[in-house]
Amino acid sequence: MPIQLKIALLISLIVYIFIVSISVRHKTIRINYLIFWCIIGIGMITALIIPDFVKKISNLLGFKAPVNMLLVSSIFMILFLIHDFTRIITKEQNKNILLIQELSMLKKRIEILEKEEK
Amino acid sequence: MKIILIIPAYNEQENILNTVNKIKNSRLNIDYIVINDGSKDNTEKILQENHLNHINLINNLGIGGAVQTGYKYAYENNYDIAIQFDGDGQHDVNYVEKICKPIIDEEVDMVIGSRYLDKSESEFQSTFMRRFGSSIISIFIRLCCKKKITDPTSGFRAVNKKVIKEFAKNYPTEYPEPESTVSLLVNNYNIKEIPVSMNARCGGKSSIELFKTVDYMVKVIFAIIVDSISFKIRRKQ
Repeated sequence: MPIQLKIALLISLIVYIFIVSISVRHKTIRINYLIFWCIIGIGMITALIIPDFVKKISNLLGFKAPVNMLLVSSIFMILFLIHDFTRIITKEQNKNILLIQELSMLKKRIEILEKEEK
Repeated sequence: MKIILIIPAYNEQENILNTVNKIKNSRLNIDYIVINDGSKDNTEKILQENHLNHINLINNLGIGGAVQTGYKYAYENNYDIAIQFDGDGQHDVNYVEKICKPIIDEEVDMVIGSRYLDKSESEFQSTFMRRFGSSIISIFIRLCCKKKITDPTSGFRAVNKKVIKEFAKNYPTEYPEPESTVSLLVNNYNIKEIPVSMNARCGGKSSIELFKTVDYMVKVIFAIIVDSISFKIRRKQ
């Protein structure tokens, strides 16, 4: 692996760890979502420390160049992530609808009770 | 028999009072509940000032979420029949008795008021594009559920207690009218259509604009196919 690429990968890895650690510190990412980002981080570290490992795996899977394997796996990972987000958004939307309905009905019931008390 | 009209209203300041007054002035012994779907105009003010029975949704949920709130209210208050009734003055209160009759006679579980069943009945037949859209949706419902529904997008429909319970728990909120019809058909509920007359909107703006018709139609057809398959799988399980 050329030294320029190693430096670029190292810088992006530092930035990546910094961003993820901020999210962990401020608890803006739940633990079960954090697992995904940690796996990505481990993958980046592995590629930096043992570049031959990526090459060997890409050869094993029949890719002509390691970069092709990285590109394909990135696309699949992004697709998986988008699907997971869509699932989570739908779930949250359903929860929102339920909350709005129940809260609005409770408000109505409170109004009735207040009127009865008067 | 306890009957309730569920009236969803979004920005209906021009029509809502008229619609409710027509119901009150009719000789029908029925209750009503207006579901104010987070209107941005004076709908809420009108409802409060005139002491109309209503629920204010704290945020806009769309027609499906609003109507489901009505079904939840009907279920909690033990109503025998719930009728969806638009707040924009499109539906005629004189048809309420007619739409309830097959349910009172325990003939069916849901009755849909159709604009297209008997063309002489309804002067207002909506635009060509909407009629075309409706007929395409109708074909797909027939293909997926083997039942002809002439007006699958009609919001004028009555349901019995069993369906009120079902809708209070599960009600499709994206394309509610055709999707709820499919869900009932797949689960072996009986549906009947009766011809009704509908008026053009008295004022305000329709929630389905003309340019959205094609987009709506494509998404509804997709929803019908997905729903019919998933409901069938769930039923088998």
